[in-house]
Amino acid sequence: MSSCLYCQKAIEEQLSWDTLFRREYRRFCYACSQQMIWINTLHCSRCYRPQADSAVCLDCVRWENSTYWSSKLTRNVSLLSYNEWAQDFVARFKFRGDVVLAKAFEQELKRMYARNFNQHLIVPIPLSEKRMIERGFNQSEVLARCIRTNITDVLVRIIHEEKTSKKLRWQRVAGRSRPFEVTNQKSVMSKNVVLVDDIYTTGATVRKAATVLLEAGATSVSSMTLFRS
Amino acid sequence: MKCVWVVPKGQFAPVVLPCDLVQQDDDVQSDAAVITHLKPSPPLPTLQGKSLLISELTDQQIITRRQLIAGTLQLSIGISLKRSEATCNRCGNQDQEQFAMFDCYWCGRNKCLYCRSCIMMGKVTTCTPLVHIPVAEPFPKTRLSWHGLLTDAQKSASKQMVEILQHRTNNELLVWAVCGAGKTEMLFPLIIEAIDQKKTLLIATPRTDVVLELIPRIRQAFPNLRSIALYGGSEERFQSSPLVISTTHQTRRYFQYFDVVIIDEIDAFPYHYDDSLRFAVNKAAKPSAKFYYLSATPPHSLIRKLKTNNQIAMINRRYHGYPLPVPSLKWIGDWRTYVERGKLPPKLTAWMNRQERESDRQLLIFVPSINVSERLESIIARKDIICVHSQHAKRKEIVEAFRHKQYHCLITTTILERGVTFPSVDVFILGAENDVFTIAALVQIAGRAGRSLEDPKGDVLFLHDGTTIAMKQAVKQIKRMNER
Repeated sequence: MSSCLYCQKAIEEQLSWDTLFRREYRRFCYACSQQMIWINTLHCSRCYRPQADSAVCLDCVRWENSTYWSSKLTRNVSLLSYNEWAQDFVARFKFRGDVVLAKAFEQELKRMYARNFNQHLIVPIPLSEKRMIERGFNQSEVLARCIRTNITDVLVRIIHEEKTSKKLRWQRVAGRSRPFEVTNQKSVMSKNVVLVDDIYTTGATVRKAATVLLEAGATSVSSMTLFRS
Repeated sequence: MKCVWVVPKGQFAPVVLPCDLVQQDDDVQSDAAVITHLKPSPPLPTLQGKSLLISELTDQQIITRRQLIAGTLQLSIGISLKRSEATCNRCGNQDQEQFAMFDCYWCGRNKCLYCRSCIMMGKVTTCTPLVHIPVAEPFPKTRLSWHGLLTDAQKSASKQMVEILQHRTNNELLVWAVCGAGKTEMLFPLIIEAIDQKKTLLIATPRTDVVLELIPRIRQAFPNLRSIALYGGSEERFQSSPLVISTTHQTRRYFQYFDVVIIDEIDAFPYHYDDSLRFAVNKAAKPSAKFYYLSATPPHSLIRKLKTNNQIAMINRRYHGYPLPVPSLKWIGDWRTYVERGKLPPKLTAWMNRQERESDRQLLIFVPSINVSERLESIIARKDIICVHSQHAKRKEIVEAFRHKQYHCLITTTILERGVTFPSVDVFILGAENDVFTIAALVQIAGRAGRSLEDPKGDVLFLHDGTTIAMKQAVKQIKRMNER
């Protein structure tokens, strides 16, 4: 009997045809899987915001209307909707540091990468030195390593900013600060890059990273995240 | 963080120091390593007080070289490895599936193990030392006093408790008191005596609600004693006091600190089941500590263990002298289907109407699950009827508001089964046949009624869809208690 990776309750296997033919074992119990909302039907075609149609959402239109931010990010792809369960998950994974939780989505992340960004260069969003010391690990790097084990260091975060989760939307979007720097220009040159992060909220972080990557010669920059709020 | 064995200049004894506190003229005795892998292993801690993670230290609590050398601060292993079997020294976890590996930046990209079992209280890893710091005990300057009165039954139990404090061989006492016997007041003479002897006390209980209920009563009785309350989210966890009232989880942050340990509701879930909580309480207690177990429904194993040495104090009368209300069993049929369809079971409506018509008391309705409590609240949809459960954001406020009679009726899960006092209530259990209502739970719930001198009676109804053995046993137990 296996137990749920998240809530540690025993997983009750209900015997079915699925049990026989499924290759992957279950990592979450029924109650936890019920609370996850996979983004697989209708969403914004550009940023994966869950919505009623697949048109480009208003936020994306606004980004693209800005002369500074226009065409920085090709598109974003996310796995799950950032609901209440996801908030608890992130609190435990990122803030408490239960790193192994990322493993639960390994298969799905790999599949998402292969389907959308095959052959792209994987670049996790880096943390500042101060945040690294505080957390002891980089959650984006952990997610990136679920897709591929060797990751080249390309970006660093040179400015320590307040947690974006504590900022308002206008504060995130209006700022044109440049917290990132490319350390390894050679490996970025003429490459299609996919940024990996835990959450896409307004898209400001990935766009700031995309800015410096494009300047360093990247052909295109997209992003993939575990959650989309 | 990496550590190393060092003989500091001008000293003879080697000490374990973090690498960044080593000075040039120190005599380094070992390779630098994370604390779990340091050879030879650091000694077991001896400093009595708190055992904290570095991230839990306040700005005043800095790890200094001087303190480590003087031994007024000690570092010990967070996760020990013995033949590749890991043990978390903070929570006692030994389940290997509850340990996971990660790339740790703290010690320079090592593969570190961390404990998943206690991660919600902060992360313990193979490179994280536990910091042992002594705690200042601000004992009051004058002897405490309390001017309330105890009944004869309370007095004799109280006397037994104080006697154990001085007893040479007996270190444990079970205080077996019926619900509403006035357990809290019985503790007061013990608290006075222990504090007078400069002994530190811990009152541990499995439930946050009980901590919140106890603390104002104790503060009111002893305004000169600065007691602190510890529970998840408590603001007082950085303070120190000779009297700590804590959930069993939070005692993990203490190490061999308490002389007297009072465990309230010994049989209550999860203390009864969870070895890690037993570990936590034993770790917080001094090896010579005296243990007091309080319960209205103690487990048989404990009774058997303590019976022979006369280590049981019995109180089978409530402090007001009236008998315990005896529950009546009422069949209400398939109530679950009604609730699922968004309707109120007609028999429940009838009982509720009758209660409201004939009694001036408030009403507590216990239900088997959170789901049912929420459904019932929305079906009834009355402003003066509200539900509460462990996941409820306003749990604390609602219970407080009910106590102040702002609601007529409170629908609750078993979280309020014990340790809480409302002066004048009738009690219903909807779905008393459910497995969550064990004998102990039923006795406890029935014990919520008739607790005050002004209103020593109250109706208790087990509304069920088929009697269970637990229901019959509970009634039998209550009747037996009343006969003695």
